[in-house]
Amino acid sequence: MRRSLIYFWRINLAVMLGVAVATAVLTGALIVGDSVRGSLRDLSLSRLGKIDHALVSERFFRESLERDLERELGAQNVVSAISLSGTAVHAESNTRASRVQIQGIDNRFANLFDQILPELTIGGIFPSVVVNESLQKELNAQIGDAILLSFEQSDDIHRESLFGRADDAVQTIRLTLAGVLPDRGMGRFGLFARQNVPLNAYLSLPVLQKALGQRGRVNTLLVSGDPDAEVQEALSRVATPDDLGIVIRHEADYFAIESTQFILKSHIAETIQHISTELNAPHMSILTYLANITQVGEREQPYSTISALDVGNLGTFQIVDGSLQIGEDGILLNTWAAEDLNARVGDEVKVAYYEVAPGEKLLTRWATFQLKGIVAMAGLGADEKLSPDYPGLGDANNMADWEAPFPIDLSRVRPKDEDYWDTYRDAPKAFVSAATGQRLWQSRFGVLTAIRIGAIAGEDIETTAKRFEDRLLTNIAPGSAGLTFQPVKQQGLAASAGATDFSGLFIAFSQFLIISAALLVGLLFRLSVEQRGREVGMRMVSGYTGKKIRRLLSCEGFVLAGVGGITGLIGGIFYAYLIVVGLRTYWVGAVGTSDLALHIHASSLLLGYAISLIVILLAIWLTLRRLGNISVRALLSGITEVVRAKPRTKWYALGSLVFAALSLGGAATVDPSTGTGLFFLSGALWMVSGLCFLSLWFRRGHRAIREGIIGMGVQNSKRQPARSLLCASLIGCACFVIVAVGANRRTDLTQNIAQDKASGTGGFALIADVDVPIYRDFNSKEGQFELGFSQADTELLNQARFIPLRVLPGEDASCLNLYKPESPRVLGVPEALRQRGGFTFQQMSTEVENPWTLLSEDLGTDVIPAIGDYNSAMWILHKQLGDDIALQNEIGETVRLRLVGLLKTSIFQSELLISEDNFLRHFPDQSGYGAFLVETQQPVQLTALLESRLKDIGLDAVSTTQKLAHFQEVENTYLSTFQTLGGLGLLLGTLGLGIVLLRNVIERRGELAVLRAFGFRRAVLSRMLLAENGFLMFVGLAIGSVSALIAVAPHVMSYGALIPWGSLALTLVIIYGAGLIASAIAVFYALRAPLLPALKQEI
Amino acid sequence: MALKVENLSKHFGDVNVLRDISFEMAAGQSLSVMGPSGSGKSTLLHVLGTLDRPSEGSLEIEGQDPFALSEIELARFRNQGIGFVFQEHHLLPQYSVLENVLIPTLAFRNGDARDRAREIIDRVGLSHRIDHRPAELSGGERQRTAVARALINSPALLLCDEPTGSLDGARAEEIADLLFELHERENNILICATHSTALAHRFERRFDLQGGTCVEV
Repeated sequence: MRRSLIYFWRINLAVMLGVAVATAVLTGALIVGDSVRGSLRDLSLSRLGKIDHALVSERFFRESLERDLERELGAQNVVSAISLSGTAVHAESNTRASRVQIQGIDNRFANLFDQILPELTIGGIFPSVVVNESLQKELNAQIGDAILLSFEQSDDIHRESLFGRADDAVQTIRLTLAGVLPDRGMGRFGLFARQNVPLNAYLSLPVLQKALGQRGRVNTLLVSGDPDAEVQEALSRVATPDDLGIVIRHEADYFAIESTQFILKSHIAETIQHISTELNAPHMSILTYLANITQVGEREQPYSTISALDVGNLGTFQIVDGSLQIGEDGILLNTWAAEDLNARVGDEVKVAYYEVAPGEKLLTRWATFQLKGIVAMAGLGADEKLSPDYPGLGDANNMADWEAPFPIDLSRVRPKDEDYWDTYRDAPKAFVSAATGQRLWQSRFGVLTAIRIGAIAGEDIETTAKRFEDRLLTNIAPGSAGLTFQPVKQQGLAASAGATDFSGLFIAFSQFLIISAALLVGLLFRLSVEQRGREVGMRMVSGYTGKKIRRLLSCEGFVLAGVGGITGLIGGIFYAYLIVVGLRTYWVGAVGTSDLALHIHASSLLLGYAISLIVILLAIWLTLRRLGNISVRALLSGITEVVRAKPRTKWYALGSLVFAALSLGGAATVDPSTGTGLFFLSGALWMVSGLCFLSLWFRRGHRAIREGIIGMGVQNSKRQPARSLLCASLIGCACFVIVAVGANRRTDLTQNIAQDKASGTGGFALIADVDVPIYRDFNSKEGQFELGFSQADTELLNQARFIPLRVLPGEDASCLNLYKPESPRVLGVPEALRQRGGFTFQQMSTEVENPWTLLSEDLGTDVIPAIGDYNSAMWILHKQLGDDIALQNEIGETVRLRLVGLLKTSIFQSELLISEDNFLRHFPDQSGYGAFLVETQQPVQLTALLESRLKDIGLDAVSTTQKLAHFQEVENTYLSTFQTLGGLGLLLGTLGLGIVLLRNVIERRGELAVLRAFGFRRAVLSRMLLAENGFLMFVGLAIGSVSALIAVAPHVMSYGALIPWGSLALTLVIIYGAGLIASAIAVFYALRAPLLPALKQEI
Repeated sequence: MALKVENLSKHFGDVNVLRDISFEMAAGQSLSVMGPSGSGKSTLLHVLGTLDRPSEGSLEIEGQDPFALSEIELARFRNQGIGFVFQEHHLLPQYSVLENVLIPTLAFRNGDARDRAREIIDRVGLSHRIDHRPAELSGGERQRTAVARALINSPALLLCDEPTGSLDGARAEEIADLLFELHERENNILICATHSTALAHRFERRFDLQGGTCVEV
C-alpha cells in the first residue's frame, strides 16, 4: 500500500487536498460558529466585568440600600449608581451624540472592572466627566473640552398625571472632559446584550444626584461575587417601605400609607387593604383630586381639593346638616364651602376637573352631584393631610404662589380663598364616595392617594404600625415595586449563544460546498482508480477477489482521507480565520462589530474531522462499488466505466422529477414558512432530477454527429459520463448557491417607497427616536409651541403628520443584534396608526381587512396581541405567528406577547408592536412617547428642523428608506458571505473541471495526436476541448440556476421584479467566462506538451 | 514527381536516425519500408507525413515543399494531402463509424462529406456497421474504419504503419487487400512500414532501413 501511495503520489496528493478542502470547509464553519459565540461571550464578560446581578429601577431609592444589601449578602460586593440615557453635546463644536449611557458612579464601580477610573471631580467650575473612546470619537472631543449632558429630570410625580411636570423634563449639565476610557471593560459597560460599543459617559455620583435632585438616592444596584446568590431574596429582607416607594406618615391616632409618587399603585393599595382586613385594623382609602370649579347655581369657587373616601370607623365628619349617606351621586361640602356657595342640602353641585388625555391634553370634565350633607370644619372636614403635598402646590405660602403644572387662572382666586389656604391649606372642601371618586379620577398610575390605618383594637397605634410595616414588607415583594435584580451575567452568557446559530448557518450555506468537495474527492479518487484500472484487472486475473481489491483500495482511501482530513483541520482553522477577519472587516455590516476573534474548540475539530471523514469515505466507497460492475477483460484494456444507462438512473430521474413537482405543488399551497422549506427541497430535487437526466443523456447513444468542432466537443463530454456528470454537478452545486443567494439580494430601495403606504416604510418618510420622552403633540399648535418651535417652523411641521409611539426599552430584535434577545424593545401603537393602517403583512392570525385591528383583540388576561416583523420573528426571535414572547411587566408579573401579525420587511425589525392601550395597562410607568413616525414630503428639511430644535432631548430622525437600507445592507452582507462560499464551491468546480480536462487530454493524447496528424491545428483542438468543458459548465450552470430559482420561488413571487436579475445574469456570465478562462488555461497547458511522442508510441 | 525526397536526414541530438535518404515516387506507386525496431521507420513516416521536420534535406509532395508553408497552411496541406493508418486505430470511442470517418473533414470545412464517407465505408465493407461505435466492432472492422478515415479527403499520400500488426493472418490479409484495392482506385502513393515480409512483397517498391540508411531492394 505504501508503494502504491508513493507511486501514484500526484493523484493521491490531489485526493488528499480534496479531502482537506471538505474538512476545512466543514470544520471552518463550526469554528466560525464557535468564534461568534466565543466573541459574544467575551464581549458580555467585558461589558459586565465582575457584575453578576443588576437592578435598574424607574424610581430612585436609598443609596444606603447598597450597604444594607452588602451586609445581608455577606462577602459580595454591591455598588450603587445612577444609570440614565441621554444626549451629549460638545459645547464648542455643537457635535451631538444621542443614546448616551450616563452613569453616575464612584470608585467602587471601577473596582467591578479592575480598572482605574480617571478622577471624577465634583468641585471646580465644572465637574468632570469621563467618556469611552467611542463617545469621544463621536463628539470629536479632547481632554479639557466642555461637554453638555442632557437627560430626563427625575420627578416623583408621573409626568403624564395631572400633577406631573411634562415641561421640565430635560436637565442639562456642563462638565469638563477629564478622561477617555478604552472601548473595553468599563468603557464598554452596558446591561443590554449588544455587540456594538455603547456611548458611555461617567460622572461623579454626587454630581448626578445633585443635578437630579436625588441626593442620597440612586436607581441602580450592581452585585458581584456570586452568580448564584439569591439577591432578590436578600433585597426583600433589607428593603424599607421607602425603597418600595411607600411613605408611612405617623399621626396621633392613625398612620397613613402614601406613595413617593403620590398615587398608590393598584396592587399595592390592594395589598395594604388586604393586610388591614387580615389584621382587623380599621382603614380608610382616600383619593384626593383637584376640582377646578365647584359650582352651585350661579355661585362657584375656584381650585379646591376634593376627596373620595368611605367613612368607616376611622376619622369622623361632624355633620351639620343632611346625612353622611352620600351614595353614588352624592357629595358633602364643608361648612366653609357650603357657605361660600350658599349651598343647601339637596342642591345640585357641579364639579369641573381636568382629565389628562394622551399628548398631555387637558380636557375639562364636569360631574354633577346632589348635596347630601354639610360637615363642620373639624376632623375630616378640615383635614389638610387628606391631600398629598404636591410640589409647587402644597408647599406654597399662598394660592397665588402656586406653581402648577397645569394651566390655572389665578385671577379667579379670591381673597377668601387665600384666607382658607392660610387657615386650612389644601384641606378638601368636598367629599364624594370612594367608588365615585375612583370612577372619575383613577388613572393608570393608581386609584388612591393614601390609605389611613388606625390601631387594632387593644393595641396602641405604634404597635399596630410596626406590625403593619412588617407585614407590608413581607407582602410587597420588591419586584412588584419595580425593584428586580436581573442575573445579567447569566443572561448575557445565555444570549451569547446568539440569535443566529452561525455554525448552523455556515454549515447550511456550506452544504453545497461540502458536497462539492466530496464530489471532487470522489472524482479525484475515481481518476486515481481509473488510472489503475489495468492494475485492478491484473490483480483479479492473479486471483484477487473484487472484495479484497476494494478493501485494499479502501485502505488507501482511508489513509488518504485521514491524512487529508488532518491537513483540512489546519485549513479549517485558516478558513475560519479568514471568515472571521472578513466578518470584522469587509463584512462588518453583517455583524456590526470588529470585536470578533477566533475561538477554536476541540469538539468542533473532532466533529468536523469525523463528519468529513464519513462523507469522504462514502464517496470513495461509492466509487469503488462501481468497479464491481466492470469485467476483468475491460479492466485489463483500461476500461473503468460502463457507458450505458442504468435502469436505476431513469427511475431516479423520474422519481426526483415527480417529487420535485409534488413538493413544488405542495409548497404553493401551504403557509409560507413551511412553503419556503418545500420550495428549497423542490429546488434540490429539480437539480437531482436534472443531473440524472444529464447522466442518461451522457450514456445515451447518439444519432448524428454534431456539426463542427463545437459539436465534437459537446459529443466528447459523453466519453467519460461519470467524470462529466461529476463536473456538471460541481458547477451545478456552486451555481445553486450563488443564484439562490443572489436572487435574495435586494437592491430595490428607492425614495419612492417612503411614500408608499404598502411598503416596508408604511408610507412614513421618517422615524424619530428621542432620549427623553416627549409628552407634547407635534401635530397641534399648542404642542409645537410647548416643544419650542417658532412660528416659522410650524409651516413645515403642519405639512407633516406625526404618529407618536410609546417605547418600552429592550433589546434589539433585528438582525443588527447578534445576541439572542430575551426582552425585545416594545412599541405602543396608538389608535391613529391602527386606523390608518399601512405596511404589508406577511402573515396574520385572522384574515381581516385591517390587520392592525388585531392588536385590539382580547386574548385573555396577561396575553397581549403583538405584531412583529416576519424576518425578525423568524430568524432572530425564532418565533412564528401565534407564538408567545414572555416579558416581565413593571410589577414583576409575566405577560405574554402573542404574535397576531407579522409584517413583511418593515422598519419595525428591531421591536414588537402592541396597542397603546395594552402598553399603558401593562407598563404604566413608561411615560411619554419615545419614537415618532412622520409622514412628510420634505424629510430632509424636517429632519434638520427637528434635530436642531430638539437636540437637548436627543431627537434623532432617520429616513425610513435608510433604516430599511441598513437592514438590507446586513441582509446583503450575509448574502455576500454566503455567495463567497458559493464562489469557493465554484472554485472547486472549476478545479475539478481543470483536473478532468487535463486527465482527459493525458488519456487522449494519442487520439489528439492522430487528429493533429489529420490536420487539426492546436487551436482547433483547443476549441474542441473548450467546447467540451464549456458545455459541461453550461449544463451545470443551467441545472443549478434553474433549480435555485425554483428553490427561491417564494421570494421571486413575493418581490417580483425587485430581484436583481441584471446583476444575477452578470454574475452567471462572469462565472461562465471565468470558468472558460480557467479551462482555457488548462487546455493551454495540456496541449503545450508535444503530441508527437504520443503518436510515436503508436506509429 | 508526386513525392520527392532528397538527402533527407534526421538527428535527435547525437543520434542520427535517418541518413541522407533520397527517393522519388509517382502517383499510383506503392512502397514498403522494412527494418528492425528502432531502425527509423516511424521517423521516416513522420517526416514524410510532415509531422516532423527533417534535420537536413528536402521533401516535395505534389511539387510543394510542405515545410515552407505556414502552420495553418501545413495543417490544411496535411489534412487534404496525406492520410494516415496506424497500428492502433485511434478511433474516437464516442463516435460511430460514419462519424469517425468524417472527423478529418471537420478540421477544415469542405462541405458535406457524408456521401463520400458512406461511399468509402461501403468500399471498406462496413455499410452494415455505419452507425456502430468502435467498441461494437471487431479488430479488423476498426482497422477498416481507420483506413476509410485516412482516405476520406482523397489524399495523394497514404502512410500506413503496421496496419495489420495487431490482426491475425486472415484479417491482416483482408486489410492488405483493401489497402491495395483502394490504392489502385484512388491512384495515390502508398507507403507502408511493416515487419511482415509477406506484406512487404506485395508492394511495388521495397526499402530496407538499416542504421538510418535506406536501401531499395
